[in-house]
Amino acid sequence: MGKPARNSAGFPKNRKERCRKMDLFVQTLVNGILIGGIFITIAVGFSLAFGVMDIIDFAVGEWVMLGAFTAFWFNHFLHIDPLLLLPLVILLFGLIGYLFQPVLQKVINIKHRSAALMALAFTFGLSTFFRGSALTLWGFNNRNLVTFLSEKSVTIFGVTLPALRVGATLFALIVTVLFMVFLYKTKTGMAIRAAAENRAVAGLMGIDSHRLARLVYALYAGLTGMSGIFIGSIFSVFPEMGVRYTAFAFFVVVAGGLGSFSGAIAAGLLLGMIASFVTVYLGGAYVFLILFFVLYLILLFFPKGILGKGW
Amino acid sequence: MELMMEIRALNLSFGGLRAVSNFHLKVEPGRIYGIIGPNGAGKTTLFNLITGLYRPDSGEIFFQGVSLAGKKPYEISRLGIARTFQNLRLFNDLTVVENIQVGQLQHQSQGFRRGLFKIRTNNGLGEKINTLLDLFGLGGRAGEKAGNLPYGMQRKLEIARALATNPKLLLLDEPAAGMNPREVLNLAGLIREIKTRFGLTIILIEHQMRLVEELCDFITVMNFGEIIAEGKPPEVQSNPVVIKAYLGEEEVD
Repeated sequence: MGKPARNSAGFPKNRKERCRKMDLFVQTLVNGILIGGIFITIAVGFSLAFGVMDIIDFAVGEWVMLGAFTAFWFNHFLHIDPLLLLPLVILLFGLIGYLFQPVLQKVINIKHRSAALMALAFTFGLSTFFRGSALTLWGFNNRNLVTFLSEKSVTIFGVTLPALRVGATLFALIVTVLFMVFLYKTKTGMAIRAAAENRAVAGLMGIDSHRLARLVYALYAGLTGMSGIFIGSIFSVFPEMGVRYTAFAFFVVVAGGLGSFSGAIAAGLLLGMIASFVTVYLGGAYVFLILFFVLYLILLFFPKGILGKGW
Repeated sequence: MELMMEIRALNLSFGGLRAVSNFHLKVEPGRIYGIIGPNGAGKTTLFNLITGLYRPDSGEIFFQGVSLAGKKPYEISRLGIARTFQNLRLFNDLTVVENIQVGQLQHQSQGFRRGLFKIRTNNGLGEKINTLLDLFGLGGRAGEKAGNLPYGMQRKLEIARALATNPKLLLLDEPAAGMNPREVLNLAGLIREIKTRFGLTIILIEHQMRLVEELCDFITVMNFGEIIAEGKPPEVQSNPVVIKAYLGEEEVD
């Protein structure tokens, strides 16, 4: 105290402040990992749906939004804690995905010169429809999704761990691990991986890839809707919250390498880091700018994704 | 004898190009058929038509008396037709064993729904998979990713995977591509062995005349999508049209 501070701009003036900067760095890192866990859950399902169906679902963010709103209204009217609604939302959205997939498949299968593009346009329209409907029904207001973990936190070595984020990440990890076990240890999982790699050849091996695609889409919708509960309770719930996550999903799938699960996990984590660090050190408005600049660099130098495993 | 497969007046055009024109073939069980012809003659297109990847413009394919018209590839596979590819199409991210297991999945189709979340065990691989691994000399590398195998082994794995679907009819698309003469000889022995052991009927697309002469009971020669000659190997070899269209070209190469 009292000693003259160093002059060089930006350099920590004293020990206390240096510690504070260090803490902030660690805190940001931890937040990045925690939020990355949620992105991974969305990324794995999204990447798999893309692999099996050859379709990029523009409405991914809207599934997140609808998942969050479902939890919000259940909580509003029935006063059930949003976290207890996780299984319900997984089942509900899984069912919606299962019923909806054949419609999507019909669009993919139409005899059109660019059927894939038509399917993309279709999901884009769907996303707009969901967002518009939500705006009309529920307005622009931000709503909070309060869970029993919302106000709690633990402090370890000066780093604050919000209980909700830790819980969300743990849950996301468990779900991802279960998903991986399903993919790598069951016969259906093996068939899905085969179909994701080459649908035509899987068909020639006797695998009915349409049925698998339906199952995968149901899993994807369930996982994504579920993520909405976590995202809604960590941030807030509003009709336009999804747009951000659609862009994020694109980042993860392209950066991770199209159709690569391990790549999607790595990219989900990277996304969490970028979002967390840019928000703290540059400001939230820069997240997309930096994100897509990084994506540009990745595409330039690692066109097959950061792990080099995609196509 | 009842026919295993019959192809009648099969046609397919891509735009103005007649890829397969008026093709016909009668396949008797237990025999090996050869289809030869220069590149672009429509041989692989024919396999794509049989396996349901392409739909013919006209003509019919009957497999054991059942018309294949409108059937999807997975349905045709389940009827008992399996194939390999000229340019390998393994599941590179799956292990060697998994590639073969994928071929076997369809036989659990009744229990498929029940076995949805059934854990796959490696000790219960089943006799068939072990037989196939041994037969093709892949036993030592069963746990490796298929994409990491050397080329020759990948070729063998393709055949093993096709056999795992329990086919009655096996379609081999240039199985000897990229092999040296000794390997070709080996392959000929292997094809004969799987034929007797699994009671197969085989259709073989091939560039290497040696393999075709050695194995086939009946040869169809194609050029520009059309059949230009057919018959037993000696008849085809002495046919001047064939020599001009195909064998002659080979000599120039």
